[in-house]
Amino acid sequence: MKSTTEKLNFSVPLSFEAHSIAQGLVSEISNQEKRQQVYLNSLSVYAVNYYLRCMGFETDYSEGDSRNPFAVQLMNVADLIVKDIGKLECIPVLAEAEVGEIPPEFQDRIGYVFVELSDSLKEANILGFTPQAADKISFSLNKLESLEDFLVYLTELEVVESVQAETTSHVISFRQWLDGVIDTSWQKLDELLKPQQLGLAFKNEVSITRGQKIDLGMHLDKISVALVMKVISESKSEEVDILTQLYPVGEMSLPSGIKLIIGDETGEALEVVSREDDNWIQSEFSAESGERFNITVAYGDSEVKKEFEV
Amino acid sequence: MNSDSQQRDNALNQQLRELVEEIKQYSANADRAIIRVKRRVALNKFVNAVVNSGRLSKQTQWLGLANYEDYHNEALQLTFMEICSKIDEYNPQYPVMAWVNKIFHWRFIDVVNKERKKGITKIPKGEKISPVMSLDDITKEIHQSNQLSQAEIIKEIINKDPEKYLIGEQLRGHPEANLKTILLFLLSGKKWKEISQELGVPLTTASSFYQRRMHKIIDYLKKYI
Repeated sequence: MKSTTEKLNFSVPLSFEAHSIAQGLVSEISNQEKRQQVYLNSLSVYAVNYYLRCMGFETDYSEGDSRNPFAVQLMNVADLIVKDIGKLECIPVLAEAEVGEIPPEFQDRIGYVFVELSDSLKEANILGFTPQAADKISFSLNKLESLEDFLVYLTELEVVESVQAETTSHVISFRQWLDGVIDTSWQKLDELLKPQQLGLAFKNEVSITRGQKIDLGMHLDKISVALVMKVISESKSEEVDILTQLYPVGEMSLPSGIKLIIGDETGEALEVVSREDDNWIQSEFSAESGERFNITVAYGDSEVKKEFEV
Repeated sequence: MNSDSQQRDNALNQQLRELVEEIKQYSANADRAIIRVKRRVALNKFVNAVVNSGRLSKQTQWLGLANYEDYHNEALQLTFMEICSKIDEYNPQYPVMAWVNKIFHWRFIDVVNKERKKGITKIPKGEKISPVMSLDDITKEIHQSNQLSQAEIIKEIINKDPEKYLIGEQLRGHPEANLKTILLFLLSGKKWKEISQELGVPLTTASSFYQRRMHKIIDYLKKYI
């Protein structure tokens, strides 16, 4: 019997269900290389989904592109949607392989999980993960982060959701922010966004920047965005400058038609709408101490509104 | 001999019980992420300890089944999922492996019943059932049909591009880097590296341009299938 203190691993027996899903996807494909790619991707996604379900995560297994017979013919995709967190890419590697290939078209996943498949395809082993593709196509498996780190990483992303549900109805006070009292549901940006999205830092002012993940839409149209608030206090002034920005979470660009609306107590509103391929949208304004305003993020039929006080 | 194996079983049970206690101590719904992480890590260790225990039942009454190993694996998979979700209900009165093996036994029966029903309705007479393919089988067992494969149908639609949508969607300043060309390259098995060289655009630019339009492409092609 092996000691339980050694490095965490997880093996998934693959049998009827896993293989019948994979066979359903390749039944229309006659190109041999493509067949193998789709089959292995499918088993790999199946294994990661199984692992995450065992660990108590919720997934949208059937909603991924990897389950769509069209999508798999048109791209090398092995995505798995983890509910309220984002998309993972589940990359299959064969036994004894030393590197795995990250498909270049998916640089924007929340993480890349590597799955070793036995030659008999009766067993999958979840090897580890990396949170960043880092523009690399081939990735050395010995540089993978452990499964323990993977559980930490996903669990921490999950927490934002549950805390947010409790706090959405509150009025958020910027005075408290500037005094250093910030609700934990507003995260530091390096916890919320990818490093390449963090272009906005103005370092030399008295300012606080925080962001919160917001989910919009239903089912297939569901998207996650990060609402980022930067509050800049000018010394000896009752006024604060507020910069609000909206970033995609888990993607590199926003879908078109997302609205960022700033409304004040008189009902006047500033509205910004995303165009195709916008990496972010923003709106800037200033407000006086005590003034209240609200921010609405809307997409299609769904919207989330938050109240703030300066 | 007997007392040796007894001792080993006791030690195993002790170890598994400690893991169960550890898991139960951390709530799955705890507010703090660190608590939920600890539960998950302990749960993962617990499943591994069960797998490596050497005390999982062989379910020998089913040894005669043609695909015994596959039935075994499917039932095992269902068992792990169930012990993970029901771990808080485990009654410490029984040895942990007795609890696991009892669940395994029931899930095995479920799998056998399910596959039997499928066998009756789905498998044509005389055809060998081979539900689990190996790496070699994937490329071997291509059924040759006279009809056009779906891949060929898709290729035809892309070539025709009835609404001229695919040819019209192009990278700014690179009319040759349009969706139609990229799709045809991909379907012919070209890798992104080659595509980027042929079109003279950076790899990530071309691939993300394509990937972002994926769902529109699928909806478009579906209309003509």
